[in-house]
Amino acid sequence: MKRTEPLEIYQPTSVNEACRIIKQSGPGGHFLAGGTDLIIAIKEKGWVPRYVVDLKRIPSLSEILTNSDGSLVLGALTTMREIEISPLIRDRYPFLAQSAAEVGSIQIRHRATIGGNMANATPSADVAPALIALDAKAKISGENSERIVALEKFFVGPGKTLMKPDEILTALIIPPHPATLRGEYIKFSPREMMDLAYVGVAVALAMDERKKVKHVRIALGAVAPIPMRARKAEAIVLDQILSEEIAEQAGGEAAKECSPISDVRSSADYRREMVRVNTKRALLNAASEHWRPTSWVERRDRRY
Amino acid sequence: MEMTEIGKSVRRLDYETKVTGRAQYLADMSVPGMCHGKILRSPYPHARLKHIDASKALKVPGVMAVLTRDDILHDEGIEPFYGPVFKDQTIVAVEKVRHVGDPVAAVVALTIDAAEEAIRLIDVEYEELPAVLDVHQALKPGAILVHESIKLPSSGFADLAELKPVEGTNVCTHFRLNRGDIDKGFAEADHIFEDTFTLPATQHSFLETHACIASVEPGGRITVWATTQNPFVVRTQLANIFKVPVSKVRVIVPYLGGGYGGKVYPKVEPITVALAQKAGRPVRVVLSREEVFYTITKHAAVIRMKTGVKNDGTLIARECEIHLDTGAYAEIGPRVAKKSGYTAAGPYRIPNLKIDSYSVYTNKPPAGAFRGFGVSQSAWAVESQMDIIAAALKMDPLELRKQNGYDEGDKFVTEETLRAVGLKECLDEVAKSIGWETKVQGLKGSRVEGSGETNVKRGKGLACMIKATITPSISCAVVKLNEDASLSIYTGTVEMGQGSETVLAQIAGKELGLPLQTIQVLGVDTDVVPYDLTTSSSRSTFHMGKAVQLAAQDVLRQLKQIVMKEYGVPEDKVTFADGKIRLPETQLDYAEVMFKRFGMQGGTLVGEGQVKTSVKDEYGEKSTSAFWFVAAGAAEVEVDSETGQIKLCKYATAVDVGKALNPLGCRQQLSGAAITGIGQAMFEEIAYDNGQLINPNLVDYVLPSLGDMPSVIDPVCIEIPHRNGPFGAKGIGESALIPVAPAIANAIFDAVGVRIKDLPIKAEKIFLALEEAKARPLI
Repeated sequence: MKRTEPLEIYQPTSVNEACRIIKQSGPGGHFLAGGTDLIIAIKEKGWVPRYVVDLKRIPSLSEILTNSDGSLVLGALTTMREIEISPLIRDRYPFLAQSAAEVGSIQIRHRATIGGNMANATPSADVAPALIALDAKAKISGENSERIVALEKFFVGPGKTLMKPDEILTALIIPPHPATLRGEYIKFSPREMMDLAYVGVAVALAMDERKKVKHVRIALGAVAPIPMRARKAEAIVLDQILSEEIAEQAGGEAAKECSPISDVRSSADYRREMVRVNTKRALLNAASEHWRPTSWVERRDRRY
Repeated sequence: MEMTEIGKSVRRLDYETKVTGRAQYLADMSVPGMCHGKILRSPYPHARLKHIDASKALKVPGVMAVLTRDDILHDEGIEPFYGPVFKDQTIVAVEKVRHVGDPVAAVVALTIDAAEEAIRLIDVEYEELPAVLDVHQALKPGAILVHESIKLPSSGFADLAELKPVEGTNVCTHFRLNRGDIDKGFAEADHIFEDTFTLPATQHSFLETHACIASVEPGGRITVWATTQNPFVVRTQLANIFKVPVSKVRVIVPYLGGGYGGKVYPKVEPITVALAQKAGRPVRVVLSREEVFYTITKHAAVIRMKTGVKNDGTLIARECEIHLDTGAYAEIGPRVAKKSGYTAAGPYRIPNLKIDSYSVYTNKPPAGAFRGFGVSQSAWAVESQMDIIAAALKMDPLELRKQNGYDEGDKFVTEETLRAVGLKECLDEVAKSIGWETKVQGLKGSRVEGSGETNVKRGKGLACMIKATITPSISCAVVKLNEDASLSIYTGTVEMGQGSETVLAQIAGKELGLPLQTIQVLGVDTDVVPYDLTTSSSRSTFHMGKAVQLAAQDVLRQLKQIVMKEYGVPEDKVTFADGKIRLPETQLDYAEVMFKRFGMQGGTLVGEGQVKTSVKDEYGEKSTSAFWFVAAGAAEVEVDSETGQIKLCKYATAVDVGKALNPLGCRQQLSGAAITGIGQAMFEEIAYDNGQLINPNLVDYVLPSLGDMPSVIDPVCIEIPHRNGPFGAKGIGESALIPVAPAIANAIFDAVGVRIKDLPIKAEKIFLALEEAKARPLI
């Protein structure tokens, strides 16, 4: 660990105060939430922020609550572990809980926050596709200002979001969904635990009584500079009864839509193929008669 | 207190100190006045060092000294060149850097921060040179040379005396083994199989990175606390480098946080001593995980194997060429080449052989010993090809192995007689464990559809191996019987997780009839303990165990002498049982006899034991290895044919342990080795781009997680006692690892019909092979 200058740490107790600190102190600062990315960047990668603004003293940023309209608000400091075990989320959006359970180790999940994870905009973030499949929105606060944008639009590149330096991601909002909404998240990574996703596929869909898909979202992680929706694949599924063939076609389309890279873990071509297979499987699993939320342990023993 | 038993499981003696986190490891230790050392490393795979300027670094507050080539070249007291086999290494680079991460300079400072800052301020001018980055490039005629010339030591390992570098090439060693008439052998063959197998460089991935604390007294006396598996080799090397007698070098080894071969021979010790000497202060150097990747790796290999087989499955001829990527420095590469060569015929009788095994210099980080070295390379090829042969001849892979496998008393490729080789017992056990009989029903149809889902295919595979232990070698032990009949054991065996402390205490306890609680195994300090060559090669139970047994017997002999003299009892009337001395009329305990001998409560009886093995054993028989390890492994896998993903359902491993002194410890060793093997088989690979490591960290270098373990690992100990081992015991540490990769590859072939010849077996490779197979018309 290398740090020649003492590090200045601010601990504001309100969002406004935090924004003011950033304005006054100027560029080169960094927010601190769970610290699972920041501390590693400082200790292992030699990156030194000029100052740090610790958000953990700000009350009410770590709540999971339901609004009267049925939307769900996840405070930015909600930990991955809280999302993983929240009865509310497990009941309504189990695949979101599962995507959080896929992150790192249990120790990491107790520290890492959903806001920090989204604000760091890693293309392979596990919860991003699940949230995008749920049409989640990002609530961005500045000094005396607030705006809400679709999470899909929130990411602009690897490590980049549309937030201004003096803005803070304060919550993620999942709009109301019909009770019939089902979903699935498949993290494809050859190592079972504590790996980065090679491919992440999240699917959320709702069907009518005749099994026709009336609503569908397919979101992909780790196969483009930002987490993305596979809109052409969605179009194939919409208003169809989800057969093996339709799912296969949609998978093929999703594979065409994404733009993976080759790296030390896998080739771009293989990632594309795995988007194809896993999109198909996620769709079929979500639509399956036997669909029910599964625990992580069951998932490990299940073959997709 | 219970009497010590052998063959009965005991909990390891160090468990409490380790599970409570109280065990001291080197990185946690400090000595008074200690400073911190950091190493500047080469950014290039191959470059000439034109100029080094440390003046700015020396101005950093807190910096005590900067070590560069000038210090080692112009100091009469330092021999700049060292190495366990060839003297091709220097403490810091002298003329050239030969791999990314090669040490160029080092800094001692009062704080780690100051040392790191100073490292960044050392100006180095390099002239980049073209590099040889794989064995293929390195072996081309006219290839760039990693070493223009190589110094040989005046004396070295006896078993490697005949191995020399080939001048003017990058061949570090060429080991040849010829047997029978190879041309005649192939002429008599009905089928000839020719395949090329590869495996990549990997990491040992011990939890504890290399570290060292060194202190040099004004008179030249050197003390080092080292993370080493062979303190006495480090002592010799340091004595040679710093030109002092070995008595002036003291090497202390705390508990080691894993070794697996990655901590044999000098690593960070020479540079730490040089720093301590220059700074006049004790210095601690602790390597980062990334630095470990630059320090030592497992040999990558390319193995071309051609085998002639008769219609009935009899192996008749084999030609094999093994190219091992030794990296920039020989380290122990020559012995890796030799062991790969010896085992290229596998555990099979093959009358006609032509084996050429090369260790080859390249501009990559040095490769050295890795748990079962040489054999884990050759066995990947041998055992994969066995199944290729079995499939082609429509034979059962188990039967093919048993038909050709060694029996008791067979002649090995070195023409020596094999004794205590439970190869077929091992094979039968693992086959039974994974339900092999249900597989063989109608060879073709052995693929079992997985639980109703058509994309999942099940398969079973097995593999076996034979390997040697380092021979000749030496282990000496001293035991002290204290006045209260408690016992202290002094050995140079390093406890690195394998459980040696426990088993050595068991052996002495059993021999003397003492309870384990009264026995203390001392830590390793070369000033105190007698010589031991190395804690590696799965040799400690067999060699040091025997030495401890002999030392205990020496104490019994002395007790007997005392009793005969002091009590006037004839020799044949004195017997020992359960920690008592039985006389015709009465029995005495040890403390009483000690009292009698010394006339008061005090005194010590010192027992000594020496084991020395040579290439001729005590019965006059040729013995390239003091004993031979045999083992087998079997895997049951599920393969997802749409993604290529593998799920390892069950892994069974059987090793001929001679005698399981501590069965629990044996099973843990077997399981641990199997788990390491699973990583090597399915996950691990150091990736390079133009000589740069692109995954020198444990995020991108993927080790298996707990979730990747099979739900069942079945470790089986086969007991065919060896006449020279303590209570018949042999070594076990490495053997179980070796069959893992081929067993899994063979199971994958059984499941989906594709043959992966390049490790690691990643999902992507299976996927591509399946795609290729789909495109190919069925035969």
